[in-house]
Amino acid sequence: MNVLDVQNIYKAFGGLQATNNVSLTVAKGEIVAVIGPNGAGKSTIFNQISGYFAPDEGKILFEGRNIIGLPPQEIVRLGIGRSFQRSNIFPRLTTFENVQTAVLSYENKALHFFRPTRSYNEVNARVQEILEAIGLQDSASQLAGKLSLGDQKRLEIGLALSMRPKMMLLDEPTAGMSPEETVATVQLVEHLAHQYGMSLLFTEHDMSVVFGISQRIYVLHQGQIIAEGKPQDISKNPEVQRVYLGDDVPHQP
Amino acid sequence: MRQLWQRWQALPAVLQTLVFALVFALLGLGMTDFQLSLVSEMLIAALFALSLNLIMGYGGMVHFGHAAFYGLGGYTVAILTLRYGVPTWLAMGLAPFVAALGAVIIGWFCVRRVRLYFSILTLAFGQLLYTVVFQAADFTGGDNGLLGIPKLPFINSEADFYYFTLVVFFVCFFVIRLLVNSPFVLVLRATRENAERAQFVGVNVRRHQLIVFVIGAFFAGVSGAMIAEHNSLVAVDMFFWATSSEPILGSLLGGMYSLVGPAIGGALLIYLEVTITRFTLYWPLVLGILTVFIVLVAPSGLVGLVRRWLGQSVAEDSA
Amino acid sequence: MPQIPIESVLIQVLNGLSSGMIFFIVASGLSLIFGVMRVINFAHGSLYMLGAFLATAVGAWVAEKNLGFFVALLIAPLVVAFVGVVLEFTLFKRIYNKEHLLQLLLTYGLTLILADVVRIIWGGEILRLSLPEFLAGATRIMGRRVANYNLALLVVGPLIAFGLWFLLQRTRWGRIIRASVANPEIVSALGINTQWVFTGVFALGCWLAGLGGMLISGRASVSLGMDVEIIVQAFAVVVIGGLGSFTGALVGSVIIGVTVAIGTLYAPSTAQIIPFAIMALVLILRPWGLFGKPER
Repeated sequence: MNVLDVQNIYKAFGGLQATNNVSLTVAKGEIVAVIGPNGAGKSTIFNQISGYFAPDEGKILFEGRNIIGLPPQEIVRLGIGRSFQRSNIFPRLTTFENVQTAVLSYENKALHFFRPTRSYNEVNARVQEILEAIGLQDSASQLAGKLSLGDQKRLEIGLALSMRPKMMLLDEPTAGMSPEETVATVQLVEHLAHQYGMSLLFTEHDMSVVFGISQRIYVLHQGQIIAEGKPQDISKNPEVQRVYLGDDVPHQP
Repeated sequence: MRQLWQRWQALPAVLQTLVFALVFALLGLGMTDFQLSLVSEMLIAALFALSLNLIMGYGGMVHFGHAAFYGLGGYTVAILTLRYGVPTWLAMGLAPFVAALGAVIIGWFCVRRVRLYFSILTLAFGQLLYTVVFQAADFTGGDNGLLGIPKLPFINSEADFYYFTLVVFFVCFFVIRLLVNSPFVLVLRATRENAERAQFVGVNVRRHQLIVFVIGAFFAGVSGAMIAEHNSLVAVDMFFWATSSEPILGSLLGGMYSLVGPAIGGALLIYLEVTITRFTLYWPLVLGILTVFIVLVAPSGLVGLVRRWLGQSVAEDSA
Repeated sequence: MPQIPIESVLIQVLNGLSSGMIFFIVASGLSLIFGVMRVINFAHGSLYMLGAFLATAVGAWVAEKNLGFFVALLIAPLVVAFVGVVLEFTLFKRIYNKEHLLQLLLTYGLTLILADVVRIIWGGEILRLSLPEFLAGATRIMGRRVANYNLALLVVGPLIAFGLWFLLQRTRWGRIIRASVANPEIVSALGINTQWVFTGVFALGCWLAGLGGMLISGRASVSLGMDVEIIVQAFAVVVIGGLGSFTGALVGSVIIGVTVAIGTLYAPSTAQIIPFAIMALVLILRPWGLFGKPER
């Protein structure tokens, strides 16, 4: 059964059709990539799935339930975690506090007013566990804003993980990273997906990452899906090469 | 020095608070009536600043209408005692709840918008209350305020009031301290840092902001009730925007990103005001220059300066 | 509710429109500065007050009332614009990249400073600018007297609105400003010195505040406290109309001016509450303002 089932969504901004009749599915445990040139509308799709704004038309089913119209905080609670293209963390909280915030929120303890946070042993053990999973246990007491860019993106993944997601949306998880950081992050993401049985839907500009870990790929162009298939098929698809790979491919006379 | 500081920090919260309270209690023994009255006012101002800083420092919401809740607290005491003959202790007990109720209504509108708009709206709604109180002279005394609020039965001297203020202040301080270390304020700080991300870890940001707005108003109501009782009168100025500026500047001066900073700053401002207005009428000018100076030079206030000196991270804001 | 003849109501609409014109001039300056710099200048009301006091001072200095008014019209807003530029250069420049909390607090501190500076220079006096003869009189409309000055404001307001529209839509400078509003990085990438755009916009915004103050000084008495009064009105205008929108500023100003004027006829003591009531209503129905865009 599909975890995520996006059916014929449309979204326009002013005169621009940012999402034009997009349908896509993600099965349980599947790793799916959405690729396309800048401005193809990848982030717009993510924003609609995660409830940042609603599509003008269409359906988005998560585990069979229509989630359109729910605010982000509720969609997250259903099990769709999300990381952002630009690192998006709580800069003047420590790394530990960042994850602690997410775990407390997940466990519905955000409205506890009088008990000291440090006395929540189970929460804090879980925070520790997540920090270890993303390899940031040594930076626990550092202000998150002072972490390296790569570590901030790991922390973001950690924040998403805290919500025990069934599926994660990763928007350019390796953007701005050095090659070493990219490799480490990709391994982390793949490992986490297997460990927790999560589905992944991600966008990425680095094709080695896309073809390295995805099981299926959607190609987006000007708000429309122009191709879908296994990595090896996608790389051979002539239309994909034309619109997406563009000038990198020598044109046939 | 640093070791001493670390040992102090290791003490349980109750003990720390008691030590502070004890110091003030002992100091009270040697003070003149004028000093007792002044320090009482300073403590009340400190509480007012603490109440604002929950919203501004921890919540990151610049609140320009906090005077509304200070005024509501004071006027609740005045109107209930003078118009309806309610006993003073009961009126003072109800005051914070009236302020909190006012905050539910005003806050509901204000948290509909974020950041700059929030500030604009709090100023506007604060001035609305001022206008209403000013105009409804039959009920509120208008420009003349209301005089002759009866004293609490157990208060017969400045010293009595001083010790009463100490108890109220330190009880509130202790509660605020608990709040600051709680999950609620941790999550609140997260919404301050990044409201969008907070939503994506499942936080209902508006609800969080509204709740802290109401909690802050509750404690502002306590300080308004206390100052009304201290002066035996309320004046419409309690609602004026300039009154909102006092806890803002107190928090800024003491240090927004700390628990005690605003209390120190709020108290210090009263002391400065009393001292400086002896020499010049242009107190707002001094305040204004001070504000600009702090914003440009030391935005984390006195506590920030001390922390830098102690070699701590400046932005750390848990207690 | 008292029975009030329809003529009185219509005349009051005219008077309300003329107040609305002054609100518009002030609020558009606030909105302009916000649109480009993303700074809400709390001291905008103080600059308006400064403009009003300066106008009365210039008027008194020229002494000849026909001339005094026009000299004040020329000089007072310019001086305010100059003060604005000095503030921009010495203070605002340092905080553009800081968090909005510090920006707000800085302009708030300036409000306190400017209020006392005005108090030091002019004391607590209540002043008024004398009008030239042709503006001082009144014209009979529907059998009732309407101050010529109010009628003149009805001409000046739209002129300013047109001027701003022309400036923003039809000049190169305006195109740069609009581009900066949409995307500041692009503008600096084009090699345009954004510093000068900022300074220019700030000066224009302050000039509008000063102009508003100058214009009000010919109509109402000038006194301390008018800074807060106008900033609250201007805030109500931008909340109703939507920050950063000129049409919004115009519509919001007219709504407030007219409703308050009519409210004064029926219930003088509660009329001041009207702007807040409208603001609350807009917040419920359309939180981002009539002409604003939902922010993210």
